[in-house]
Amino acid sequence: MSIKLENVAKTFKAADIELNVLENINLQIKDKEAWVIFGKSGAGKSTLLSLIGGMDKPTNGKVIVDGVDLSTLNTNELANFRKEKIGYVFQAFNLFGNLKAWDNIILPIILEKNRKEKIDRVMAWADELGIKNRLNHLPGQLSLGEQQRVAILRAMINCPKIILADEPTAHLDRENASKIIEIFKKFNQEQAVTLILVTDHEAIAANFEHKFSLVPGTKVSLIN
Amino acid sequence: MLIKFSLKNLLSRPRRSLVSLAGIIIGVALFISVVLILKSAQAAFNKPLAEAGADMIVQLQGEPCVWSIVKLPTDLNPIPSKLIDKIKALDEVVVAEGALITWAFPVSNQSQAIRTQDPSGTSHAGLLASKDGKDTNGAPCTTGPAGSFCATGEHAASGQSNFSPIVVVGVNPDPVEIGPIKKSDLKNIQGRYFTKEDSYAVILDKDFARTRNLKLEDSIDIGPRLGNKVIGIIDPGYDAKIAGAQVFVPLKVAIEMAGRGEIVDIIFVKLKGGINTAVVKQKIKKALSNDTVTITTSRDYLSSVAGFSNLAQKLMLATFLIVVLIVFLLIAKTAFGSVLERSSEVGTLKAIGWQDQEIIKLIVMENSILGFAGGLLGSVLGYLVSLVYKINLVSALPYYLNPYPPCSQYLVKTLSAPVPIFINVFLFTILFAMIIQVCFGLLATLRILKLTPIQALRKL
Repeated sequence: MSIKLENVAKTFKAADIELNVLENINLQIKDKEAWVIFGKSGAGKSTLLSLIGGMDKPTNGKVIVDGVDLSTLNTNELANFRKEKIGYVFQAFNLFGNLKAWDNIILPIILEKNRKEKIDRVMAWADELGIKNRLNHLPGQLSLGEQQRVAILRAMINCPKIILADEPTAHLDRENASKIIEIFKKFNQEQAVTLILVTDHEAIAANFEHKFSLVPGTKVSLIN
Repeated sequence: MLIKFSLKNLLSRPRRSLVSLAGIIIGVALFISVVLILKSAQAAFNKPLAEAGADMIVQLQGEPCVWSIVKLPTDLNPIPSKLIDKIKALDEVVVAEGALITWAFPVSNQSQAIRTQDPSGTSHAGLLASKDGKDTNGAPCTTGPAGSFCATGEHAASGQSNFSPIVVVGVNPDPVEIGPIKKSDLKNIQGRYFTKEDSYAVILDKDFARTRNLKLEDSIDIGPRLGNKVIGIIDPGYDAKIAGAQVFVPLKVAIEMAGRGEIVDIIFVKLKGGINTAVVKQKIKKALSNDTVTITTSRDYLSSVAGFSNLAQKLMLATFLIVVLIVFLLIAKTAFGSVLERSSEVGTLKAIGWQDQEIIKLIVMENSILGFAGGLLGSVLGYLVSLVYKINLVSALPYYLNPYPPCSQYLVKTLSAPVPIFINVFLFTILFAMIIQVCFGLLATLRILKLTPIQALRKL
């Protein structure tokens, strides 16, 4: 699923202060590509990711996903867009601490009636990722690596066309970080998912062919 | 699915759920206990009038009567019997019945006694009346020793070991609709009720009969009237009654014993429905040509028993409204706060694709469950609190309706009424708690839903 950003800017206002986090971002990502956005903390990486995921609105410019300008979608359409097309992995995992790992994974479809197929599929993935026997535990009883796997499975449960991962290795050691990156690559290749991963580690960025650095106050223009 | 997930969500964070639940429970319990205590107290206070089948009690209070062997209680003064007909004649009145409450002291001089063998049945008026004989024929009492109704002074010194009077009430020998013994009370009589021919016949209070070890067909001396035959024993129940007595006699006998002519000292009045009692009060005062007559309705009675003035009643209403407001705010704050605290959760749900309606349904369901559970548990707790309060609530009839002398206070029954279970009040309260909980939960949710997922997440 292709993603196109046209002159995207995002400004945050706090009291009388305006903070231009993103300015003139022009970017095109083709279907099934895997991209890494890297840069220092505060560069606007997470903001850019949230704009692509339809979770925030740009101050200026357009975010076009699969040919649809997200600004034209109403609240319900945006929710459907996020549910069906986006798998978002948060930096802090954003798991519900009171729910078991399994309930967290199926949270996007918990109100659906016909969900057997999705459940069978995600169970198989849980087995592959080595957390099948940890699904009855609360997030607090899991290691950070296991929590991140739970968050990834939650993002994948609807078989989204785009995975947006916001610094998914930030809290992990090197070994776990490598494993998580492998998981993302696997989904990118096997499930034909467009992947955008945000990180501040150049070493991680080195694993990916497509990447760009985000520096505050600089324009980005990556359009073929 | 939604209910299951809502329950799971609530149960999986017990601390937060319990805090919310506690807020609702406290609020609802406060409301329910206040309502039930008020209702129970009101029912207890209204019960004596209701049990007498009357809407009004008419009495004449004044200077206590001069002491005599048989005298009118405390400061009750005689009302000429013919005035009952004037009350009956009022358009608003359905029925009026008089009774004569007296205190019969034990005789110290047996020569004054009237033997049961006396076949003449002639009037003994004068023999038993006041010493100076001035207070006859329904005339007001002259000042007497108001405090000397018990074993004091010369009478105590006269050798009587038990000088307390027997409370004797004269009642209509025809079964009547209202009064101390009504038609519907006859089933509680062991033995039989009076006939018009009965003269030396008495009906005893069950407790009095037990303490005196008296049974049917036994005889009892009442003041100077000796050898009265026990024809019935009535079980009046546990609660205090207006014109409740230890011994009931036919009205004509009580009149004869009091020796003041054709009098009563209490009139029970039943009114037609929807009548303004204030108007009837005025009419009765006019009919009796007496402004000082005491007319007690259930409302006056409640005020008198509970010691509530109008101001106190208004303060009570204000307190009740404040309680309702506190309950409202307590539940509202709990609901509002608990949802706002979950801003990041709502943000996450939005981010993973939950529709706003789905989030609203979840919050509504969770808050409905909390409101229902809190309302139910709060109602039970409120009921228990009102039961505990009731145990400690001891109230008696006001002195002017209480026929017992101060020295017989241990005989005086108290007022009580079961704490009512008002299903509709419970249901209303549970619904009220649910509605407030849901509305304020919804209000907080709508505030969060206005935000984008990222804004909601950043609210943390």
